[in-house]
Amino acid sequence: MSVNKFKPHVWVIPEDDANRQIVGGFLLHDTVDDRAVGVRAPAGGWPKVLEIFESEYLPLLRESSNAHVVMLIDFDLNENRREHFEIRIPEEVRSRVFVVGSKDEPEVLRRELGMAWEPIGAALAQECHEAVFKLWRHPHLIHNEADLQRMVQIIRPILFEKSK
Amino acid sequence: MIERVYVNNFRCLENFSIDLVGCPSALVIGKNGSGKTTFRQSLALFQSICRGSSRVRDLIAGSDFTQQRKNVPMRFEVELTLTDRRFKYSISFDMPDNFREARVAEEILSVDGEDIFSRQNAQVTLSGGSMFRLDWHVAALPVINERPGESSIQQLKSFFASMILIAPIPANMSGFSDEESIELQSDAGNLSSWLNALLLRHPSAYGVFDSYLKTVIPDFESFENVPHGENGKQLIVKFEQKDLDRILPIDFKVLSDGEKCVFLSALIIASNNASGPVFCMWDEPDNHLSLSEIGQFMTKLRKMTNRSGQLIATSHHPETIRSFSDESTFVFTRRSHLEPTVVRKLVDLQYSGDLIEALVRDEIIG
Repeated sequence: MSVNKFKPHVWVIPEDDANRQIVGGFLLHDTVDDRAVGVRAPAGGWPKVLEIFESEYLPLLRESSNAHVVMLIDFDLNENRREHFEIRIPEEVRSRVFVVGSKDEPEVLRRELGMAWEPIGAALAQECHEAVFKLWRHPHLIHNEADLQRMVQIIRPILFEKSK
Repeated sequence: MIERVYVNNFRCLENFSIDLVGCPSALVIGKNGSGKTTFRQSLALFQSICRGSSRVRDLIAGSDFTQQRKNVPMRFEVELTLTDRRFKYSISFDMPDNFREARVAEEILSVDGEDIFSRQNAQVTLSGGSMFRLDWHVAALPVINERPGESSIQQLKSFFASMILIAPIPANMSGFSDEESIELQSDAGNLSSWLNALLLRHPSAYGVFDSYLKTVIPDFESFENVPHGENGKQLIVKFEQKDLDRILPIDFKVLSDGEKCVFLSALIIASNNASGPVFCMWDEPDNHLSLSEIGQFMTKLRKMTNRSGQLIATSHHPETIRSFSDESTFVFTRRSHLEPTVVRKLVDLQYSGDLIEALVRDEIIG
């Protein structure tokens, strides 16, 4: 029942417990192929996410073209945060690596939405299933647009095989 | 769906209340001795009553009264909604000094706020006002039937009787059966009998079961019940070796402990889909599973409840704990063996940094 590495699959590295719980809600959506996703333990800060990516997941990406990585981080209102990641993602795996997260902290998003963690994840999954992206374009998530577009092309067919 | 359970004066559960509204799946965490298993056993009391154990001595013992306080009523209450009808059932017991076994002190069943029956000691009053006396060492719910055309009591009895309250022991899951049973035992030892009953009543369950197993055990092909002994059957699981175009039959009893638990989860999910909402409380479902399998195993069990059914798991395992949000996790704490279990939602507790690290540091359940 572990991740099927012989088929395209996605590793998710959440920065913290809040992001881990959002992913948990995403996976609970009926249409998500949970066997195509592996979620590792929260890294404990964005520098740790990057460290784990380089030490543990970069070798996996190089080893298998089926592997994809989504780093789920807090941008902490820092406009340079994405750049910190992008310069550390090697060109040969760049198309299979994604960096997404809240503009500030997920707690701010949760307060604004008035939702619990899992329902936020489930709502994001529902939008992926329907290919209608409203919450994904919330002011706290809109800065992910470029990676969202790439995920729609690359990750969505892996996780939502049976969706339209 | 069970919405609230209240227990008083039963072992470590004193004035214990758990609110499960909006929790189709929930996790209970807590240290050893915090009351997780006692909670399951309190649910088992409702199950036992509706599986035919109406005699009080078969339900509780004098030693079950908290700190031997037999002069204080031991009370069990459950509120639940089944097909849009709201049920409330409560039963309490006391044990006067000169009694050798406890007796029923009060018992009430109401549906949508109206009493179906109520009872004080031996005196039972039905909704129409008629009364009769019943041995006070016997629960009334199993012996009361409703008027023709009504089905609320039977609906509640079926729900309680078919609850899945398990702490599986794979060694006891042999795959042998000599009967069908709609009641899964707490050790899941009669899994094969339960499987036979499920497929007999709901043949469509096979499709769900088969598709789940093929997802998680890629070489699973099918299973067969082979006649064994005079009246028995032995479950044989067939695996497919595609490259050799060969089928390998394996006796269920020699499957690994983890594989047996996967088989069990497939059956629970199939039962929920085919025979109606299932209430399942599974003590440490991660036992026997490899690290890489736990997360997805839990996600699949939780997904079962997206449309119907309810799952409560207990666990000490980090991978299982991470499969639930703080909002769907209940924390049981107990300061000492002289003090009762306290229930709080994890989301209401403060901890810093990573949840698992905080648990290891005893910040949350200490």
